[in-house]
Order: sequence, then C-alpha cells, then structure tokens
Amino acid sequence: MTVVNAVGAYQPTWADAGRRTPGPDEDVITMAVAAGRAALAGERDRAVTRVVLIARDPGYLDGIALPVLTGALAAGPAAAADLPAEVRVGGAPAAVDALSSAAPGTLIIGVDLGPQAGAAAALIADLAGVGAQLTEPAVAGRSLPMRVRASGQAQPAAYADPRAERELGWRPAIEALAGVEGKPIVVGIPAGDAARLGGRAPGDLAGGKAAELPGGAAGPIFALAAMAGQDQAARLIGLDAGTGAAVTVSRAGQLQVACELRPSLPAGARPAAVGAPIVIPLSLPAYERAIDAKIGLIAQKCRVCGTESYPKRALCLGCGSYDSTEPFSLPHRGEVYSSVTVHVAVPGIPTPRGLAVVALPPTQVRVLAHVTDALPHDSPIGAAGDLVLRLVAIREGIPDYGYAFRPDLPSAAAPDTSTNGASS
Amino acid sequence: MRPVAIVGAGMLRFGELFGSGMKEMLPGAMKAAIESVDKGITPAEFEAAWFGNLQPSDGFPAGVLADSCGLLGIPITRVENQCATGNDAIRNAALAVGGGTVDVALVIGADKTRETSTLSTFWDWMGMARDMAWDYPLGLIAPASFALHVGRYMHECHARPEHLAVVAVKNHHNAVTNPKAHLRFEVTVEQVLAAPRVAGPFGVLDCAPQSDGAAAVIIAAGDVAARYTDRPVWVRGFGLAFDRVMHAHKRDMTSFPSTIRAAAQAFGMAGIEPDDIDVAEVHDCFTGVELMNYEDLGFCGRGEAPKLIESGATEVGGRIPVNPSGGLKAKGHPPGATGVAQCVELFEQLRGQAANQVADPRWALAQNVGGPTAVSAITILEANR
Repeated sequence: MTVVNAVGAYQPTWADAGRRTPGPDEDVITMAVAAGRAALAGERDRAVTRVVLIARDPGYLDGIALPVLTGALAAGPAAAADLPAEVRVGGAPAAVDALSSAAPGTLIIGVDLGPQAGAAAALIADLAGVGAQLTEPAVAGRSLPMRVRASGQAQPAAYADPRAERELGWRPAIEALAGVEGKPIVVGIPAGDAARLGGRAPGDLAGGKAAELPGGAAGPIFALAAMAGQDQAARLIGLDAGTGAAVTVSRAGQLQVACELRPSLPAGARPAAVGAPIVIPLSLPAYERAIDAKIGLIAQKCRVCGTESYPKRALCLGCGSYDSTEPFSLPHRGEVYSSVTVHVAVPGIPTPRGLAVVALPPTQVRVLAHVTDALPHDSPIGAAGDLVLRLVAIREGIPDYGYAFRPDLPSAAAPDTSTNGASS
Repeated sequence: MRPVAIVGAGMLRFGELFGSGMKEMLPGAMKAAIESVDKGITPAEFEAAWFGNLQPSDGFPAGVLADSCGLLGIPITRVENQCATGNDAIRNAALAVGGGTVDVALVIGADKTRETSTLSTFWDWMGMARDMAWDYPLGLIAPASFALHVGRYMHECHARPEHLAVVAVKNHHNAVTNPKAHLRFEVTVEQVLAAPRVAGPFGVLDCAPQSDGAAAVIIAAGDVAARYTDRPVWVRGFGLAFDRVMHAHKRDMTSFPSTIRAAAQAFGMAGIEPDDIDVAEVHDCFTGVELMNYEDLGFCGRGEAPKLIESGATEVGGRIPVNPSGGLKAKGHPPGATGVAQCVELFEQLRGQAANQVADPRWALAQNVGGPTAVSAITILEANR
C-alpha cells in the first residue's frame, strides 16, 4: 500500500480547439515544476526525498535538466538541489505503477506535452500518514506496438486501427485489472471507449473538464485529483495500447489537492518565433555561476547591514562590506514596476514578447523577466502576478531556464486556482 | 587644466554606407575635419588620437585607424563606453591636451551598424551591453530597454504618445535641411503614431535609424589654437558617469541618473547653469528619451518636459533649441560616431556655420546616455568671444 498525501496539477494557459497546449517557453521540466510546486504548496510537512519524473517524451535524452527541476522545487537556500531524481519514459500505466510502488517521500510527477498538455504531481506519505490509500496494485501487459517511436524520430510509427487497439489491448487489460469495486476509472483512452468497455472516465476537476485533462503520464494523478471529493473506494486503471496498471484508491477525500488551471487563452495568440533560427551564444561558466540563484530565486542579504542583492554582489551597496552576504529565498509573487511589449521580431525570441521589471515586496529586490501566459498589454504597471519557471532561451542548443512573470488574469476572468480536500 | 579648443570638426553623411568600410570611413572623416581648419593642418601635426568605436567591424580598431589614416607613429587609444563613446573620446583627448602632454589631438568616432545581417545585429549589440547569464537571454533589445524607462516616465509624468511624436516631428524637420543627416524627410504626428510598433510606446518613427558613419574633431591647446583658427570653440566642461547596469537594479526609471551625475560634473567644471545653454544636442535614440533628457539636464523641472516641447522652446528659434542637426532620431546613430558628430554640429553652431543655425549661441551642450541606460557623457562648449 502507498498513501498519497497531496496532489498538484497544472495545465498550460494556451488552448487550441479545446486542447491545452504548451507555451513557447514551456517544456517537460517547466511543467513538472509547476505541478510539483502546486503539490508542495500546502502547509503540511512536505519532506521530499526523491523525485520521479514520468513522461512519454522527456524532451532531453542526455544532460536532462533534472537539477533545474529539483532546484526549483527546493524549499529554500538551505534545501539545495541535492535531491535524487530520475526519469521514466512512459504514459498512464507507468504513472499508476509509480503511485502504487513508490517509497514515502517520493514526489511523482507525470507530464504530458499533448494531445492534452498538462502535468500533475503526487507526494507519497508514510503508511501512517494522511491521504488517499492506494492498494491492490496490478499490471497487465502484452506486446501490442500500436505506436512505436524510435529514438531520434519525431513522430511515432502508428498502426492505424482503433478497433484493434480497443479489442486487443484495452478490453483484455481492463478485464484483467478491473477488480470488484464497481466501474473502474480508466485513464489513457477516450471516455466513450472507457464506457463501452465497462469503465468510466475520471470526473471533472475544479476548473478543468474531464475531457480536457491529460491522458498520459499525468492522467492518473489528474484522476486522483478529481476523486478528492469522494471517500468511496474506486479502481483506477491507466492504459496505453496493450499495457495497463491499476490500483484501488480509497479515502481519496483525505487528499490535499491544488490545481493550477487558468482559463485558457487562444493558442493562436501565443508568441511565436519569427524568421530563421539563430544561435544565441552561451557561456557555461557564466550559466553555472548564476543557475542556482536563478532557479532557486535565491537572493543575498548583507550580514552587516541587511542590504539585499540579486544576483549576489561581491561588494555590499549599503555598507561596502566585501563578500559578507547570506542567502534568502525571494517571494514568487510580485508587481510590475515597468513593462514593455516588444513587437519587433527578435530572432530566437518568440514575439510579441512582454518584458517587465517586477518588484518582489516585501523585499527590495526587483527582477527583469519575460511576461508569459498573457496577451500583450495584460501586464501594465501595477499588475500583480507570479514568477514561474520557464525556458527563457535555447542557447547553442542548451536550454537556459529562468523565471517569467505571469500576470494575474484580469478580474473579468478570475483564475480557477482551487484547493480542496484536506479533511484531516 | 590649460584651456582646450576644438579647431576643426567634420563628418561623413550618416546613412547606410554599404560602399565604405572602416578603412574608407576613417580617412573620410579625418579629411572632413582637416578641411574645416581655417588656417590648415596636416595629419603630421597630430600628436595623439582617440578612436571612439563600439563594434570593431574590420578588426583591431586602433590599428585600423592608424593604418588607414597613416598615423603609425602616434599613440592611438580606442574608447568604448557604449553610446557615450563619442563624447568620452573627446573627454580623453581634452584631458591629454589640457594636461599639457599633447598640443594637438585627433578624435574620431565611427561605427558600422549596417555591417551585420538583421538576424545577428540584435544579438551582436546586446552582447556588448547585457549581463551574459541574466539579461542577455531575455532579448532586451535597445528599444525595449529604453521603453521600460519611457513607459514608467509616461505613467508618472503624464506624457502622452503625442508628446513623443512631436520629438520625431521636430527632429525630422531639422534633418531635412542638414546635408549630413541620414533621414531627410518630414514626418507628422499622425504618421509617427500610426507607424508599425516596435516596443512599448515606440513605433518605427520613434526610433533612431541604424546608421553607419564617422565624425572627427581636432582638439588643440589654447596656446596653439591660433595657429589653426581665429574662431576656436572652447571645451569648457565635460562629465562621464554611470548608473546600475541591470534594469532590475535601477530604482527610479523615470530618469537617467547617469545623465544627472555627468551633468553635475560638466556644469560644475564649466561654471554655468542649465539655463545658460543656448543650444544642445541630446541623446534621442528614441523619442521619449529626449523628453527625459530635458529634465535630467535641467532644461525644465521634473515632469515638465511635455510642456516644454509643447511650447516649442526646443525648436530652432525657441528658448533652448535641442537637436538642430536632426539628432540621433533623424541625423542617425552610428554609436561610436554619435557623440563626436554632436560636437561637430555644435562646433558649427558656435561658429555661426550650422545648417540650422541658432541665433548667436554662446554655450552649447552635447549629451549621450547609453548602453543598458547605464552611462552618460556630456561635453560643454563655448563660442570664442
């Protein structure tokens, strides 16, 4: 048995014909950070000892930016990015398997880049801990290579026969995994097929309709979030072609759930790259000197006079002390001091692109950041919002991450950020 | 410091000088300056040279100047201080001449912004002005960098887009009659406001063009100036100062503190007040920047720049004409040359020879603010009386 203490879910702001789709500054890592931070946002003790990232397409094969993920999830300057982390390639079954087998302290993050993009994270608690209980794990698998993607191949080779997949893959897997607690919740296949095969789709989530939720590696964790309102036990099945994994979920009412699902903006309004690709130079030593402070939003305070600096200064502006600072965490909430929308195409930078100088009260620190997940003019002077980890640029092929400013939505469309559960 | 004078000044017409490399532009600018010297001068009389240049477009800048201008036997120092480069090069030469080690010095400023493709130009130039790890990857191009200031300025000081547009209208008007200007056409407020958007409050017609160009001045000690002219222009003050490099570190973006600091140095050295200035060439890389400069230089009080430009005071014929040459906005902006070219214009103004002559000026001021809005240079000149 495992106990899931908290769940966080995230979907990109942009949507194309009902499908959430990542922004130009989002990838598996940034979406994983968004979900992970949501899962860890509550007030309970959130001691993470390991991070497991699951995605069908992790995006990077070598040099994957796991330290960026763990660094952005760290609770502060003391909690360095020394967290063990691993990547698993897989979809819904891999996520169910991870949920039912992980050790306490594991943060499991599933990320889907499409067709419904989203990420969800689940924190595994001690067996005696508060949360949903996951019991009776089972897996079913047969070789049914409906979609095969060789490494280096952009698109999978697909065997185009949905009936064959349903009858040869899904039906036997569901029959093997369903258990006895009524209709199982099936993730990874269309809702109509789930019903036809004796199951049901996950329920709606506050701010997100079931039909618009991810069905891959993030799907089972989204399904847990949707179950949080109910205490009745249910079987949860994750399917992917011929393979499936299942677990029985009980006491889901004890889950703490934080969903970051904003009303969508049309994907056609996303900033888009203009012109031919260009190589933006990178200095890896300069990257390395900055990355911890950048990713952790870690500023410095002078031990002598308290003057704050970000990034770190060798010489204190307040008292002239040399190398006398100690780190502190910056808030992720801020307010626009000044902003500009860049309309002219800058090669390598998606356009139109907002830039903002963002004040981070109560600190004295301001940051310069891209504006993200917003339309031009959504970030006027005085606008409040969040700093969110994003892919700032690709430099010599290497991703350069940092924080972007995401303005709160105009009052006409208040964000659907909800927290429910927490019945302990 | 002993008195220092400008005895000659000249420039090439700014523009897209695709046909000229550095090796052609530098001798051209030197020749123009030499030809302006009333009693004549030869390159052999230069004892030292300073070369203002941001981007070496044909390699080793000082060497290219020495080689192309036949100045192999004198010290040549390249000066790079972002958009303040030109006036800083003049400051360096004035210090050497004023200090007595050099009697006659050449100052040349030159840049070729049109020497690289439009794809790489933005990143090439940002690479010279941005923190490599923090700000560079954000793509903070120059118009955005200045728009963060002007946007905040407009917010606090109630300047409207029309006020910015009037700067363009005025400076384009001046450039029409300046044969050295890059953009010699009139614009209307309506055209400026309707132009394609670039960044924030700036449309295309709010922005200085990307120009190639070179300009030169010849600086001589007061003791020897009479050898060259009976109408020298005196270098009475200069200043060079800075602000925080990263935009996140600028506390009040409604002004350019580097200009305020440099102005305090220059006015103090010259022993005059802002009200004494009769004509000024200021840094209008983007229209709204000229308005902010009025305030930083003390031509009007804080928040009063919109009123000042509305009043017509900064037109030729007004109380304090600004950018009679057309400014960066219309004369053009090859950064290393820009400050030197400002002093070429003011040399002519103070000798009564300018294309858009201001009535009988005595005091003139040149100002640049540049890079990541973090450096300003100012030169104050006085007519010979």
